Amino acid sequence: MRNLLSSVPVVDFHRVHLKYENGPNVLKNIQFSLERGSFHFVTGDSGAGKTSLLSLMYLDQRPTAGRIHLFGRNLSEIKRKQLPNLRRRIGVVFQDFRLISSLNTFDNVALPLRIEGMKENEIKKRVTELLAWVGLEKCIHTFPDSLSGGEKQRIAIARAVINAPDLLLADEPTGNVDDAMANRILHLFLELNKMGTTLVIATHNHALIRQFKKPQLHLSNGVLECLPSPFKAPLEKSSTAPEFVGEYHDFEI
Amino acid sequence: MILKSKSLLPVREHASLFLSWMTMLMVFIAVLSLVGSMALTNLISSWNRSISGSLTIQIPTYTQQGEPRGDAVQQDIQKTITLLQQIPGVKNVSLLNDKQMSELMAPWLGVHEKISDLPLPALLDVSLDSTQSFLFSDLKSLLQEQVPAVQVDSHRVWLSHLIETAKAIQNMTSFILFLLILTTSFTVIYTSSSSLALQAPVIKLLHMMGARDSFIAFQYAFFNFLRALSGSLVGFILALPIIWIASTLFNPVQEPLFATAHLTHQQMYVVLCIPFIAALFAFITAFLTVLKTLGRMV
Repeated sequence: MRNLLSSVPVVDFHRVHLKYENGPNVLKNIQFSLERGSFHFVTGDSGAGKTSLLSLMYLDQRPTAGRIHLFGRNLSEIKRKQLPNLRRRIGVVFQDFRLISSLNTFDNVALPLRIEGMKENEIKKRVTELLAWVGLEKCIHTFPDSLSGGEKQRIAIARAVINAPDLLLADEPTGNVDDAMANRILHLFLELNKMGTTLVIATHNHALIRQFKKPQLHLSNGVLECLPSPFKAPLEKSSTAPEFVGEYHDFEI
Repeated sequence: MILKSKSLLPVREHASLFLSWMTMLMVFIAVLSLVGSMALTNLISSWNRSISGSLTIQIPTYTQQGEPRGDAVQQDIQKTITLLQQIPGVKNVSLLNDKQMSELMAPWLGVHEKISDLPLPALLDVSLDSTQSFLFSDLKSLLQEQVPAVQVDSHRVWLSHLIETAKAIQNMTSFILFLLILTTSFTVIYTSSSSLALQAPVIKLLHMMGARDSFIAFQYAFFNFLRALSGSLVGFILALPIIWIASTLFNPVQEPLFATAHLTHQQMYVVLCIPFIAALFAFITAFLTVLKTLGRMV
């Protein structure tokens, strides 16, 4: 099924607007599509709508207007009982981590696998390996309240990538870790990306953006814009590059 | 399953602790009510059997002034037996011998070797055919007309009053059980709903990870099950000494009327199942409540 859908964009926004209750539009006429295996940074000032954009992608919000396709499925037409299968293909790293306080490190990371119904011995193998990789093997039985911000962030990342999702959305995933760990995490993301995972990372970290030279979705006051590459390096139009089409903000990469 | 490790819910959540306390109280009352109700059921059936299956006729051996009646007693016995044997519906008539009399009176008088020395009436044990209609009042009139000295035991009348009272108590305990089930349902619904409200961020997270409503509902229901089970077991254990005290009060030797007010093995198994039934009930109620609530979420 996943192979059959590989030719369609993983994410496709068509004239999407979002506003919360009676407030102003936080996202305006957003239009773009992301191909399978692409890697994008979402940039913009605080309050520009980065988190809102991601929340639409991980199905936490529904657009006020416009159409969103995920993995070729129109979200407005999808039935509620079909959402879990779609959501299991998406890994999310939340800015506020959202770890479950009553679960220890192991159980927090194992959660997506348990939701999928994986066998315990396989879960144990996978989780232990990944926790060792992110340097948390000693915290395996520790509860989130006893962990530092950086450790929590690594658990949140481990949880998001444990089931090798087709789409990984990360909101400031390196905000609480040092540069060395940030680099390590980004390289993990790159590895996943090489295996076909589509990555969308919201960040303020300009050093990372410069280092990884990936295309950006830049938001300014809820409007999608194009920023030149940090080094003004010409980006080739490839399968990893987004196609931006918008009424107000058409641009090329 | 996640249940093999830790619960998704905070361990010391007030609503779930409330559930434990409530189920403890409910099971405590339910066990007492059910045991009482079952014992009453057994007692009523036993009394009913005794009413429909037999009859006791007394032939006094002494006059009202305290003089021995002598040969008149034997004549009355023979006459009564003959009369009874002619009545349709009477299966058997037998005169209780000294040994049987002694056994019968043992709870009141103790073992008495010379029961015939006591001023006791002669007793005729009459077995009745339950398949034939039988009018107790007709028999009484006939006997008193033919053998004026005999006394037909009117225990049938007061026993039927006792049965009616027992049945009323039984109905009341059934109503109490119904109220307990209703209260437990509301408690589980309340605790599940308040827990859901408190756990909204966790539920949202689980949904975003692709958890189905049934998965989340199962987590909550199983947590409730454990809470309810712990409360139920404590309630059950607390009820046991009360039952024991009550059973000693209705000692069959001291209170022959309540000799059958004990539980059968099957009934005991049912009582033993109460804590688990209560916990299972809490599980199902919580599962359905949570499932319904989640169905309204995005």
